[in-house]
Amino acid sequence: MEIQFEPRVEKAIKSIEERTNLPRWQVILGLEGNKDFRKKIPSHILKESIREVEKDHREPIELIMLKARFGQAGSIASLTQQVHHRHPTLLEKLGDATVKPLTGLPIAVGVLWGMFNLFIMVAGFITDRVMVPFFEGPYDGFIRSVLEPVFPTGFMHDMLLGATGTGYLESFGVLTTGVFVPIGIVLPAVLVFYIILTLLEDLGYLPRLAVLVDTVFHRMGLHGYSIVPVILGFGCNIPGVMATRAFSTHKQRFMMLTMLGVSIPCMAQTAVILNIVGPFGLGWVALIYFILMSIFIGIGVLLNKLMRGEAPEIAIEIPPYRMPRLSNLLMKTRLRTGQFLLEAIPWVFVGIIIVNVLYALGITELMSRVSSPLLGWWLGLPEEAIYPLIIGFLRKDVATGLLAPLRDANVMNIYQIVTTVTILVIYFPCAATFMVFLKELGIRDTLKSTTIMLIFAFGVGGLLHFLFSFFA
Amino acid sequence: MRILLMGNPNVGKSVIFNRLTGIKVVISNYPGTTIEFLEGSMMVDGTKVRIIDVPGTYSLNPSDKAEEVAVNILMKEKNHLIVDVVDATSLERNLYLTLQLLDLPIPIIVNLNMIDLARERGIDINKDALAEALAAPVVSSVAISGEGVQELRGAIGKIVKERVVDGNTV
Repeated sequence: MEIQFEPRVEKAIKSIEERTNLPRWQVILGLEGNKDFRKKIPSHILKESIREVEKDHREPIELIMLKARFGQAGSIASLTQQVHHRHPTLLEKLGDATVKPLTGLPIAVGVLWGMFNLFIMVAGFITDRVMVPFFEGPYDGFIRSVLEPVFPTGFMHDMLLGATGTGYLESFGVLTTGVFVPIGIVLPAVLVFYIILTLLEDLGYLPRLAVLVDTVFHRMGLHGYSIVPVILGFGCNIPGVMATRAFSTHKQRFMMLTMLGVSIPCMAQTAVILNIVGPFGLGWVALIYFILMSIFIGIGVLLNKLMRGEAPEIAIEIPPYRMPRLSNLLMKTRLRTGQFLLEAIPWVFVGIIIVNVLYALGITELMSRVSSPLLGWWLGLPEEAIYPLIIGFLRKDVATGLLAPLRDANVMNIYQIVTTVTILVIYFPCAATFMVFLKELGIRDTLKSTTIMLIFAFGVGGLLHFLFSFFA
Repeated sequence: MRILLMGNPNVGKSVIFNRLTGIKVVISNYPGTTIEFLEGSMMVDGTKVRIIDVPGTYSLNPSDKAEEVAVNILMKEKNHLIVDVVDATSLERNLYLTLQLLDLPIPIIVNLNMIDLARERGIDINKDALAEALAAPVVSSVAISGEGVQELRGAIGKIVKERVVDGNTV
């Protein structure tokens, strides 16, 4: 179908068509401002053809075309649809209440706080009451009865079943810790998180949250929509990174990616925090979250000042609330949880194999001796802390297994544990996220981002050491 | 034969994609859920056609990376049909993209989705008048429940039949 514009616009289109031999639709796209098609029209032809119409309208051609299109859309809509008056429904009233700051902010705090508590309670229950009894009971009996006759002792025994006489978290066998950490500890967290996330998503709450936090994010040169990658990032940083594709400038994407990598703990990192620091009390957990939040805002403000580039406004649509559907909830949770398992388990296995091989070759000892001056002097950590920090480059959850024995044997005190966990969460996302950074940002910007992460990790680590040695 | 599912963000393209191809995709109630395109296929009268779930876009002048992906899919390869998914609750705003798509030398089917929500809000859309004004077939649907999806398949089948001769797309 061919839609006619007003005569002067049509004249400009015709003149360009004749002089360039481009088809009408390409000329129109060029005039509307599509860069690829604009390039096809030689600039002198473009200038000559649109001079008259721009002069008459006193507007650039893109705007004239835009208004013309909306004019057409408006008249077609009014010809074909009838709108009857009716009263707002309950969901619509709720929709308004959750966007207005006066009612919306308390609701948002309540929703997030409630969800966080529900998350800790349910995920913790599944791990402690279902997973631990299963792994240490029937599962353990089964793999031992199959494998111990084949490998009674030696390297393969330790590699597969881990060190004897230690729990599932810290024995470091591929089939003990390697299976227990991703499935027993992280999977319940991931599962519960994704069920909660899906409910909020399908209801349509996230864009409303974006409206509420818009002012805060604008201080950092970002848009309220940034809450979407942030919340996705709490599950796994990779979908968070992908969601930044909806951002309009490179600056905003770079900032958001760096902020995600540094200060948004994914479920694997959350599992480390809760399992390693949690037993010392929720106050310490809260401290780590407070540090992360401060860094999040700090990096945002800093990068916004240091980087050139615009932070344009974008308009986002607020969809109506819809009742979540059970079928979609189940499908999405299965899809996302499956993706997690696929991404996590291979890396966990690789991490555990590396730990075993390095240990068997005596390299771990060498590493800890080399790094102990820096660790001790700058961070106040014992030399053993280097193992979780190094393996954390691959995956954070594997580090849980390395930290737990250090904590339980009192090699590290609570201050050192908090420092290590904080560094672990900040300094580098994980190998899989790093690959996505490379793909989305390119090598140069990924290196820049990584440098920022390392500076913050060891800066904050040093600061914590200083503060702790001062107060404690 | 390549069919594109296009439309503004958060109008239900991914739900339609899931209905037509049976492929499970992440669907949420906020704009910008799909940021990469997904490809699937469906059988229409014994012909296998490729269907692409294109990230949502408000116009053909991309303003972010997801929209860029959308416009590139449209421009860089040969496409034979566009199913333009339109949010029936905000017809006027959605028609902007529809009008841009109508200018392209590619046949288009307009799919008025979420017609149930439109009805609930007291919006009556005259499908025949819209089809006449746009000179394109118009099919209404409630993708999430499956209503109207069979009709959409039929409309796609009709165009596929016209364009596929002896197994070759013309």
